[in-house]
Amino acid sequence: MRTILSVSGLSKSFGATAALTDVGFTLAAGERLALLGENGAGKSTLIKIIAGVHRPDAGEMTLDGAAHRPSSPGDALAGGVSVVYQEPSFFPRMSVLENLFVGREPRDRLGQVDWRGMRRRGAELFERLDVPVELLNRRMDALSLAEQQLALIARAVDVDAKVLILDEPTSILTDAEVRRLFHTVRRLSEAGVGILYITHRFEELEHVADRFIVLKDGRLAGDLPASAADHDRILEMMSGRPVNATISRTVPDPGPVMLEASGITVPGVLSDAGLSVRRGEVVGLYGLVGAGRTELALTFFGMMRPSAGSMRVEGRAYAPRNPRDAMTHGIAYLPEDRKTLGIFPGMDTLSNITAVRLPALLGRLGVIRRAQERELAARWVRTLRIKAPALSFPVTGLSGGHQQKVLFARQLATEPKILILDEPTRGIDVATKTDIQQRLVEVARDGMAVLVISSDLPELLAVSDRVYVMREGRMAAELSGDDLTEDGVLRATMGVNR
Amino acid sequence: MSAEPAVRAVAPRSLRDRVSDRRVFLLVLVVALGALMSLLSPYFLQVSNLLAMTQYGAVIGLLALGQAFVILGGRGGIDLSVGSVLSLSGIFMGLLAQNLGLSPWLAAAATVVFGALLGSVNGFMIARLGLPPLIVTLSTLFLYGALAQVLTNGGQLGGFDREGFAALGQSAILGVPTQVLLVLAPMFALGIWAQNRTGFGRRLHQAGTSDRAAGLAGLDVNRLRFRLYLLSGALAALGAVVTNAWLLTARPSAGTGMELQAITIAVLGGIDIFGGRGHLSGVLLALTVVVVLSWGLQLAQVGNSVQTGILGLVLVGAALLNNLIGRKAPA
Repeated sequence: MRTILSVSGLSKSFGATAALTDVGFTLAAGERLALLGENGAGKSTLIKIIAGVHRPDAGEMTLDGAAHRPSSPGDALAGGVSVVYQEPSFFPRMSVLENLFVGREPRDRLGQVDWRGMRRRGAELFERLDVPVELLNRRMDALSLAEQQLALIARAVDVDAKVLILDEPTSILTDAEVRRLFHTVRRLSEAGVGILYITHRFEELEHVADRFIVLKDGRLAGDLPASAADHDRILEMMSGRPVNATISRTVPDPGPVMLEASGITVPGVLSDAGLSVRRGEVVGLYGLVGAGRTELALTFFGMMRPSAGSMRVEGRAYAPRNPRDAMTHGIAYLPEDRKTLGIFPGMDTLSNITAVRLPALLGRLGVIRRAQERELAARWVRTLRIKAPALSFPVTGLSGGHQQKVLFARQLATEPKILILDEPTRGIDVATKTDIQQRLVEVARDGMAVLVISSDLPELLAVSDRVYVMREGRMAAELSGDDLTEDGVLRATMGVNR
Repeated sequence: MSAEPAVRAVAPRSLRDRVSDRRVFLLVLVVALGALMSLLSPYFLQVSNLLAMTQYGAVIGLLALGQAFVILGGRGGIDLSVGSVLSLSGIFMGLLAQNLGLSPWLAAAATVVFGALLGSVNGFMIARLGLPPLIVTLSTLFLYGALAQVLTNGGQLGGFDREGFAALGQSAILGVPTQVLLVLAPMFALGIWAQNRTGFGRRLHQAGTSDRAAGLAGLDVNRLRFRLYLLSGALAALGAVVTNAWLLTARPSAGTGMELQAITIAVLGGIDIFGGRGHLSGVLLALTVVVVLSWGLQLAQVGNSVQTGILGLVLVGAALLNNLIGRKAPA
């Protein structure tokens, strides 16, 4: 078979972090290649380099025999590389047809949009890919997720794509939808398009891939034909150590159960999920993006109402109506997205730290007791070693890591009994990261119940006494003691039985 | 072990910070305009003129204060209905004082409650039903305005010149108009104090800068916003009370067009139209600028249409200046 894309010696660093090191592989015309790896293994970086979003620090790429050095996503697209990202972008309020041709609408002689020609070309394209033609007239946001994916794939291949990259297209689809997607992918490969397919689902491999490659910590860890797709072997490549390696840990003496939930169901998001956290314990919650971890946390925090299931706090029935309700029950939640859900950007460091604790700092007429507020904030600044020139310093002037510490302080200042942390160290520097990890173990040992959601598996293993793994809205496993290993967690994440 | 870092309470401000503070710009503008106006018209600095100037400013200042609160609250907050609330509240007070023969002082108190009610209609539709503020308050602008006309058949009401009520609008204490000393100044003082010192002020900024983060921090953002529209309505009604004491007649068109002036003053005062940023003290300075400008231009016999044009120039100039100095845009 003719090689359509070849990559060799690709390296890329962001600051001091090496995202990719010396990665190379080839993709033939009509071949379906699956790309596997843990969260943070470098899959996204690799795709983005091929798609012209990032420039590599070193390495060469060729596309259909010619050098491929895209200077922008548009450049890569013109060369024949199309990408459908995991969180695709489109114009939700426009029709599917308009979305298909956005920015490249066919024109008639007067320069007007040629709707008739557009409709004809759209219909031809959908027929070729076995996508229902009726969809063309629907509004994009009226489509199901699967139909949106199909429309975007159609848009991606209509530009004479030589290589089509699909970033976890099935993570949110139902089985029937997945089958339809596979069918479309097969059609494309028969037409000679090279397909690079990112997936976390092992059961898909035999349906979508002729070959697979594995990334581990930014390096190529394996390149095998699908016929050799032995699950154990893939897992070993992903985790980088022999299967069943164990990490010894000291299990503390846990106190009473502080938070427990069972049968939590939110249609389309969570089904029959549950867990328990004891005082003095750090419990980890792992799973792929979209597995329902954050949604479960939001349910505990009163931001999402379950349609079924029950929760208990300190043994008593608990059904929060809003975050304030949750707070009065002693629950604190550090949200996932620091920039949009955490920081108050226009405000200073002081008021960001005391934002949640505020009601306790008010005197008569709702006046803030300023001396007390300053003292509280200053104490947390010292305890967590937050680097701020002054309490009145704008919080957005602090580094990302210290902003995160401010948010951590904001939650700790409320003296919660149950602390839920959602991705507490994402996107912050290593030193601050270690600092926060140590602190959260400390606060647990001092008598808090701590639940940590993290996509950083080594981190989760380092801080947790127990780990729950979620998969597609359910609890896939609960691991502790000798079972709590990288391999064990990954198996549960991918849905691989022992 | 590293030494414990000392945390200072207040960060030093660079020259650039100070210059880019809207309040500094406004202060310079007030002084410059005052100087210019006294050159243009020899009457400008006479005490009688200063008096008349601030009388005019009292009413519009109350509306701008309410407007500033609503805009600070974020999520596209704006109150276009304040002019009509003022008109309708004024008529309401007239009906109480003239038709029912109620004491003007009692009627005034009832009117403020009535205005709060009108404002809470906005608040209910915006905060509880989630309708866009622009549409809701545009609707009530027309609705309340029409109601004021219908209630009076386009005529006017009186009955305010009793029990010394006129003193509120037509006298001065130590050279300062009563409505400024006893209404506008205390309201602004209260507003500035609440913004800087109370939990309400903190919550206002939280909701204004990040709606979702405020919710996660335990704030009931809808209840807060409901109260802001209620407050804006009450302040507009207070404006109606002051107008009635000043002019001694309630006209159904009393507040027409005042909503845009109020928004102009709030925005010129540095209130970020997207919410969460800005100081009420800046709004007070902007009010001074607008009052000085319009009164001075009137004395210099510059026409009304030119006056509004100049106000537009000042507003866009302030925006441009901020842009040029390059806001240290927090990432």
